[in-house]
Amino acid sequence: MPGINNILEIGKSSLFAHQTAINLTGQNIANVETEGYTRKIPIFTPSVTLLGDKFNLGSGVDITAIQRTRDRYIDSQLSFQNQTLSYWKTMDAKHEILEQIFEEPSSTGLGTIMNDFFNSWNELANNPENPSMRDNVIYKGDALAKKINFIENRLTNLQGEISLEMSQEIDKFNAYAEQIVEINRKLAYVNKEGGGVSNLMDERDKLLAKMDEIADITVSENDDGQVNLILNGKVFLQKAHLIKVDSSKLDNDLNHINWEDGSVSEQANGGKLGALIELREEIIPENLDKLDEFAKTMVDRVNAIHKTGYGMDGSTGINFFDEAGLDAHNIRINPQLLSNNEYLAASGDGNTGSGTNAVLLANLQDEFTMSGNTLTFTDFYANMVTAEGNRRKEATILLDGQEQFVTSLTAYQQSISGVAIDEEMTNLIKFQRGYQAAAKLITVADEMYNTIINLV
Amino acid sequence: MRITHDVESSQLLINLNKVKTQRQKYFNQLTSGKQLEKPSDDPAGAARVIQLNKVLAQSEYYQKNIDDAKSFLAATEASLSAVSENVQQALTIGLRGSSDTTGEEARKLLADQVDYILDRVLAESNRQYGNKYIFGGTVVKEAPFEKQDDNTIVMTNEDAIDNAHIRELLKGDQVQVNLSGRDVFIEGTNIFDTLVDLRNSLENNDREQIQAAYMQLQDAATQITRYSGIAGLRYEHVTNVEQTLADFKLQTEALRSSIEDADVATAAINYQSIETIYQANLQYGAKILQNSILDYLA
Repeated sequence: MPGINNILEIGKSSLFAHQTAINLTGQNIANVETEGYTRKIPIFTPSVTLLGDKFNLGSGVDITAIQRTRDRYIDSQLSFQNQTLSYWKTMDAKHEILEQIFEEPSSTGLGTIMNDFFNSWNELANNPENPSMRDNVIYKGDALAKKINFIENRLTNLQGEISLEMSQEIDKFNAYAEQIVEINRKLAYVNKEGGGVSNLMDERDKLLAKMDEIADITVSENDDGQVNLILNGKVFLQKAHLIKVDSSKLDNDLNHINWEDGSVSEQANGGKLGALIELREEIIPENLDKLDEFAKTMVDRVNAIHKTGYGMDGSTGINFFDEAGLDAHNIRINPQLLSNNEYLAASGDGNTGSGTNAVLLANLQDEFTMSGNTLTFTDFYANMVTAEGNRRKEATILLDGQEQFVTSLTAYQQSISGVAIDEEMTNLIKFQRGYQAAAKLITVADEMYNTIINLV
Repeated sequence: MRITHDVESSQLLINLNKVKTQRQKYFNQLTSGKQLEKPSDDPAGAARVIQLNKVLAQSEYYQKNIDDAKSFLAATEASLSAVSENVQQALTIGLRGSSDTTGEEARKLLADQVDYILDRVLAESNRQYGNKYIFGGTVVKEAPFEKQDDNTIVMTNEDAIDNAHIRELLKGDQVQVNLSGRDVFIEGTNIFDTLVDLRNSLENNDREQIQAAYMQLQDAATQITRYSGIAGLRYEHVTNVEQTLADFKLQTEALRSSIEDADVATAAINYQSIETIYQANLQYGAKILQNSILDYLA
């Protein structure tokens, strides 16, 4: 049968165990505001059982593990949903800029400037011989061309900014991967148990969450806590071995990810990177194509009518817009007109008092000129604006929903991993009482020794 | 579910943020008076507003066309009524000239008066509105009628004098605002020639010719009255269209306003209720976040 010594041993192990538990509680309380900190709980296990004559008695308590309270399932859910959240956040932010580019509805948008342009032809039709009315048409035509240039320019600039952002994101992605390799290396050497490891793991999970925001990576964890990372089927990080993304090829090959070892995989379509690529390669080009179509049709149709008319000096066959500028970037008014307003062809028959050609040009606004002669210029432009408005609205709605979902998931994850002060304080009292009880046990054992010694 | 320290505070922050976003939206509606500021506020509505803006811009130029048409027609009527007065004077002269009691000397004096009338009618026929000749078609640089050396009056540009000035008053409703100088002064009864005939016959003291010219002059007076009537009818039509356009503009503006403008009462009530929710959230935060078991431990 175990002797009084064992009682002392039990008391001692209990003292140590509770002291460790109080340490952990202190650590938890200290990190209540730390981002990514996972609550640690001590796992108390009864110590080795001693074989007695009649009964098998224990030899105290031991803290066999310090558990990070994490739910792997929630973690992987959250990492996937965070990546979707990051996708919609980027989409929403960029669409906010995109829809502002059109400045609609307002008195400065392309819609109004186009109305002004066509109206100026009408005013000229009433007073074809009036030089200030002629200047007015030329000025309004110039303003229209410049507005189209301006929108094109802002769209192209946004594309450029997105390219820059993409290479920055890839640099970050590579840097995070490097840090994870560093943590993998440490994990391979450090004893798995103990606070040091769980802190490393917290740090790693934080990095993984940041990488998730950039692209849709998949994580697989080994038994020793080291992770492997996969992006679109490519294992690019395996324990201490890392293949980085080659950002130098980004500009030429947007549909693929080029790795530094020369291999190529499909481009990511989630996360911030996925959103940026979609914006740069699909949404902005679509807007630019439409704007080009708009500009080209405007030049073609206005010139076709303008050429048939006559200027003040009897000139005919003159273009209103420069016929070399057939897209949104190059559309501009015929420089001849800027230097001499007599070339403006308001007259339909060569008589200076005739405004019939100006009437034809004013009426062009109501003709079905766009999209295979089914839409007017205004219809076509309004559709562009609506499409962009709808995209922004969709992004905002989906972002809102995704935010709520991630919030509830985060709350759930926090309910497992987070620190609750009330709970820690209760634990503190519990462990303190345990410590006091263990000390009492030692006193009792001591008194038992005293009793025996006094017998002698 | 365990409610941890972080969950409580972050949930509160998220809620506060949402409420503030809403509050900002209603605040903007109140201060700008618009519920449609960006296409995404109402994508279909944004397209409607762009379309309606076009329609309203067109209404404005229709209004300009109407104003221009009215002025042009009014100028035409004024000119024709001046011509008409002169023709009436000429008729009086013709009547006196054809009387038995009028002697040769008196007829010569009357002939001088007709000459004077002829000049005034010529001036009216060359009258300008802005820098256009009312009866000159699309000719701008030269007057449509000119006195020859033999004192007869001819058209200077027979090609352009009939050209029409058309104003579109509404979509599909076009009106010609000018009258052809040929129709008014030359075709049918040639007013100039008639006046020249009258003068010559007075000068020549030829009573029969005077009477013939007098008869013709009556036709000329009828002709002028007829064209004056045409100008008047067109003017009336333009005025009617103006009323239609004003109604149409009003309706379109109301429609645009219903899409674009915020209902101030609704926005104010929305703002008030969201403000209440915001206050409630703040109070909740102030109460809940302070409380913990620490308050109750000795």
